[in-house]
Amino acid sequence: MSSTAVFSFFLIRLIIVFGRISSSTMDRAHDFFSLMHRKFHF
Amino acid sequence: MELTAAYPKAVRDRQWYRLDNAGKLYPALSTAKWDSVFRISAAMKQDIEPKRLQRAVDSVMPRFVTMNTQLCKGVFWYYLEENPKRLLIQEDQIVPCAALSWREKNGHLMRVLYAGRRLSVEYFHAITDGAGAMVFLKTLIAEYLRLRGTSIPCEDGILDLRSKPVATELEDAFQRMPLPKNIKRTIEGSAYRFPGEKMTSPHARSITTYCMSASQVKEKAKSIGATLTEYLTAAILLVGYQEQEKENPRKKLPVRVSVPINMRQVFPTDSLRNCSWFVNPEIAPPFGDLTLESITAQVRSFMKEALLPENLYAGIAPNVASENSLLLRLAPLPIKNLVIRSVHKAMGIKMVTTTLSNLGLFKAPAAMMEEIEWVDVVLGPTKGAGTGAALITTGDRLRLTYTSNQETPVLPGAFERLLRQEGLSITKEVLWG
Repeated sequence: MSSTAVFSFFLIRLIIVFGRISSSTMDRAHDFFSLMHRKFHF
Repeated sequence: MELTAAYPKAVRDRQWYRLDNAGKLYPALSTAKWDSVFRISAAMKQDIEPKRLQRAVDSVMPRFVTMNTQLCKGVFWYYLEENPKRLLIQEDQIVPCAALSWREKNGHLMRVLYAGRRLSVEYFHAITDGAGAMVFLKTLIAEYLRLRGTSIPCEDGILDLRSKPVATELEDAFQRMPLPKNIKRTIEGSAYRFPGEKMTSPHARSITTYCMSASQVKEKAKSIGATLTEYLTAAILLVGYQEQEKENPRKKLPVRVSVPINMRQVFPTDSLRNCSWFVNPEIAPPFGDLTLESITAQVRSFMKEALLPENLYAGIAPNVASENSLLLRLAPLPIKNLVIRSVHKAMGIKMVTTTLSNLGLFKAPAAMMEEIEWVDVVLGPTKGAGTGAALITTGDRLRLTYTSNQETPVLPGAFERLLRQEGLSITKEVLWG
């Protein structure tokens, strides 16, 4: 396996992992702000 | 039957709604043992099939998005949030209009009950009023009958379950009404209250229904130039006057009946939420020699004036203005609750003698009417000692139901005697107590 292929493999893994984390973080943030909006509406 | 089923949704995907103007009061006044709950029942011609009813409830609930909710506490206001829990039907064995367990997690704000041929739905007043409740009941019965193979068209207030809720169904119509600015609230003084201690148990109540011929009552009312509501209101006022004369207190008080008005008749809206106002016809001392005819004339002239749209709007305006005032909006919820409870205790209960709510004529497609014997409306008991009545007409069947939490309620019996003296034929049914 060439070093390019190894590098690409790890890069793709990194993107997938980061994507998952950021998507769940975004969802959590979305949930948090939705909840705050309804709790603090006046 | 499944015990429970939920459709889990993330907070961000759950719809939420602000409470409407009237709806804001009820959670504040609510206690663990008392809620403002009312019930509408329909007696079908055949026994209710629970499994089919549950299927009908499952189909209907998602269409009524503001009723399929739970009540949540915010920092400044309560609010409604989509309820992820399935509403399960219950056998009608509990006390009518018992407090709802809305403080529990995913607690529903209504219940669907069945017993023999009777199908009942009880609603927390924070989510809807009589007219909105009627739309739900009709749509539920229509779906139930469809599941039994009867074709029911979506007319006469039956919603199409395939359609999506429109914005006007969810609106607080008071906010859109052409309300006058800078109108001061008129505070009416204390009114006469019927004697009778409040029953000690919070579940104790007496519920009595008087069945009459609507055409007979209408004819009687027409003979003295009144509508059915005006005539029955006058009858209650006369009973109040006679009872006060019997008691002969040092200071006589006005006798005042609170009559809810469906504002949808005045302001065009499809709102399924609270959209009612009330007018308070009264007779005030010095009374003189009062008869049913003279009181009816007074009520008629009062109603003529009070039901003018500009007068109704003038009554609603101060309530909406207070709700929209920045000072009140920024007050934390516990402070708001305290203020609402104190004002209600000081004025709300004492201002009227009793309530008479007329839901009018029950209309539904012919195929549905064939399956229904009668419809009934029951008010929940008041927070303090009191007696109130609600009526509805199905065909020629007028059913007027009194709810009381007083040990020996005076009003229902005296009202019955008066109407019998007037030559009306009445039958009496006791639902509870």
